[in-house]
Amino acid sequence: MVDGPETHSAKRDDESKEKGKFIVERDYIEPTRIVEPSSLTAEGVDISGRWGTIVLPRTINEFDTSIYERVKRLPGGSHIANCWQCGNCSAICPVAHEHPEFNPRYLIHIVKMGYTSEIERLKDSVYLCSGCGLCSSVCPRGVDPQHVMIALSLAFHAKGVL
Amino acid sequence: MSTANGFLAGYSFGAAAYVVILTLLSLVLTVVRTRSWGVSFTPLDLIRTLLSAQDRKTGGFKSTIRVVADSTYHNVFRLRRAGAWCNEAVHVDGRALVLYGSIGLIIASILGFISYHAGTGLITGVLLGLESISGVVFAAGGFILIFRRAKAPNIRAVTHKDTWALQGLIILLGVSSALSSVYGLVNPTASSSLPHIITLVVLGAFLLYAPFSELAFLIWKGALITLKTVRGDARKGESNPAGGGQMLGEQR
Amino acid sequence: MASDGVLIVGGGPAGLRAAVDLAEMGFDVVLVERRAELGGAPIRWKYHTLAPEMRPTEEVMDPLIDACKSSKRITIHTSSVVSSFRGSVGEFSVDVRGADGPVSTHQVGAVVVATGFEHFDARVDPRYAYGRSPDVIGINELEGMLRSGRVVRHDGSTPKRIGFVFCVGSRDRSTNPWCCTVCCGVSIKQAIELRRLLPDSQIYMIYMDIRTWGLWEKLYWDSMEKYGINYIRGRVGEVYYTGEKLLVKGEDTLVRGPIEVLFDMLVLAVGMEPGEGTRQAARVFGLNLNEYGFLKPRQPNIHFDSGVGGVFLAGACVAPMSIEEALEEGSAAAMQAAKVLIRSSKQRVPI
Repeated sequence: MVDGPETHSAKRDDESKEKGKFIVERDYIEPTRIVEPSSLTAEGVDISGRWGTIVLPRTINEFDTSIYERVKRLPGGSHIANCWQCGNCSAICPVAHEHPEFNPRYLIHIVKMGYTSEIERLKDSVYLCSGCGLCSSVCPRGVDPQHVMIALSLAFHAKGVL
Repeated sequence: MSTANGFLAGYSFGAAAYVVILTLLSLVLTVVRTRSWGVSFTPLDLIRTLLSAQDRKTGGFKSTIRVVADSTYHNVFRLRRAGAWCNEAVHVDGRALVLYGSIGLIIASILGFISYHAGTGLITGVLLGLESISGVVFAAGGFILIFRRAKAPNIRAVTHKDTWALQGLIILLGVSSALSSVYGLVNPTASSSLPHIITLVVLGAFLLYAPFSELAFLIWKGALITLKTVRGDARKGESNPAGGGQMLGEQR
Repeated sequence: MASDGVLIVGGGPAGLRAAVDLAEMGFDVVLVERRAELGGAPIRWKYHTLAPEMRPTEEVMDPLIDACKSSKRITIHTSSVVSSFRGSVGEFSVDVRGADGPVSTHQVGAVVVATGFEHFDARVDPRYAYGRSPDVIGINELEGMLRSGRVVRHDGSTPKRIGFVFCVGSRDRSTNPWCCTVCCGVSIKQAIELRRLLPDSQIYMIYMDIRTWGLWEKLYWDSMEKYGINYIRGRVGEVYYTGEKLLVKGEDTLVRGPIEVLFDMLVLAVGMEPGEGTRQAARVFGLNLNEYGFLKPRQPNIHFDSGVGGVFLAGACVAPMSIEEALEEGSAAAMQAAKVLIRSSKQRVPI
């Protein structure tokens, strides 16, 4: 049985093990944070080489609230501010129980905090939402995560955002 | 007899024109509403990407079509990764029926229109049968979706009016399509039928309402997922560290 | 000889309430307060408003203080402490030493100890650079700023991004292990007031838990739904002054990742702990202290019973609590003191 996108990511993992393999204790580092350009030029001069490899930091160092402000104004996103991260939505979400990268509570959190690196990492997970509405039925604060997910999908792919 | 046939033919073309115009209007409204969200209209992007497939290092047009077909099969027919594959089985079943029913209705009514004017009576009859079954399936899907939400008080309480309206229209459209096709089957020489007119009215309401409902978002999302799958393949080919286009033969 | 008097140690909400209740019942009161002014924490730290509904502090404290000062039955000794205590229930003799040394002796039938609390001194916890960096303040200091209507940084500029750090000097084995009950609600109340004062500010509450008990919960909801206050579940590990702003390093638990963000001002929710007044009263009256240093009642669910006959406890010297609770404990202790006096004098209530 051919599974579509899954084989892509499996192949990418194999490739990523090759990145930065000269780094001592490379196991400590998430492969996605290793940037190893195959060629590098600066001001027209070719400076390709091993020294071009960098490891992006994990640390979040800014609250970029522009996406949050956008979500609040998109249809469905008006009550995102109510969320207090209790996790009721993720607890009952049938998709979250199958796909580890889809977590409505977490998606709302990174948007409210404005952690653009996490949003960048997870922006394709938001489509996994099936629209079943169970999350909204158990949310104690009236966040309506079902429709917030719609607003997040739109916000993440608005022109010039990510 | 010829006047009756003439009237029928005129009515048929009139109805077709009505449907085409409303569909185009619906499409325009969908594009406008989608753009108002600050995003691009992804079905257009998808078509553009497919058309320019020869220029990209994707292994050519054939390969891209294969990707799209595969993605459509998984996302539309098997309802995976479009997010519907989850434990909420009733919800998935309802959506699946609506999807299959709508595809059946569209194919059956377009082919039926062609067959009717080509004069192939038996094929028209079969297509009418297909249309009525599709209508039933479509309505059944809508009914499952609406019943699921109406039954549980906690889900009922958070369901938006828009959702009730859309799912209600689905049921109405499915039922009236089925009824009018059955009527057409039973009365092949009827000048026009009330069920058919009702179907046209409901279809009109559906087409004009759909752009303002969640359906507009679902269309945008579906096209975007397919687009990403196609582009994901292209990017994979380009960023291969071994360089060049050698590895591009093995897409999957 | 039986006495119609009650000694009240501590002039905060609990002590004042007890004093006024007893005076209104016809008993004489000797009120001893170690600081120069009455009112306890609300007056000392210039509380602007009280949670949960942000009513002005004056509504509660002014009537109490005025009633005390105007009552002929209440003798007030400020800047004074009780230096000795002798006798038996109904017939105590106490010495009150004033600021410059004069000692007066009083005969009282019962005692109410309501010596209140002190705020945790955040210099003890070096993580937050309190006392070393500018613009790191405690919720007690912020209250005074809010009252003055002017919240500014050390250089006079208006802070844009303000952080509140919860549980400073509480729920922590290395400082104080108990929970201060009201800090969450007070901090959120202050955050709301800050948003009203500085509408362009961004406020982040960095918390472990949010403990807005009972009807105070509304503050929490309003802070998010009406005032756009942000909440980060996590802890702060280090605060570093860059010369311009405060670099706050910590972890956001929900992301399971480190954050290092620049803030203009940091407000620490410094907890309540027993103060020198409580320790001194425990020594003089022979009261038990629990493992945390609070006055220990004979039975933990009955606060007023100190275990020493005729001596009753009230307020934050027993456990961290809100002002409404302290007021009620003052009345409860007053009731017990009244009963002692009535029984020992074998006469009916003198009103």
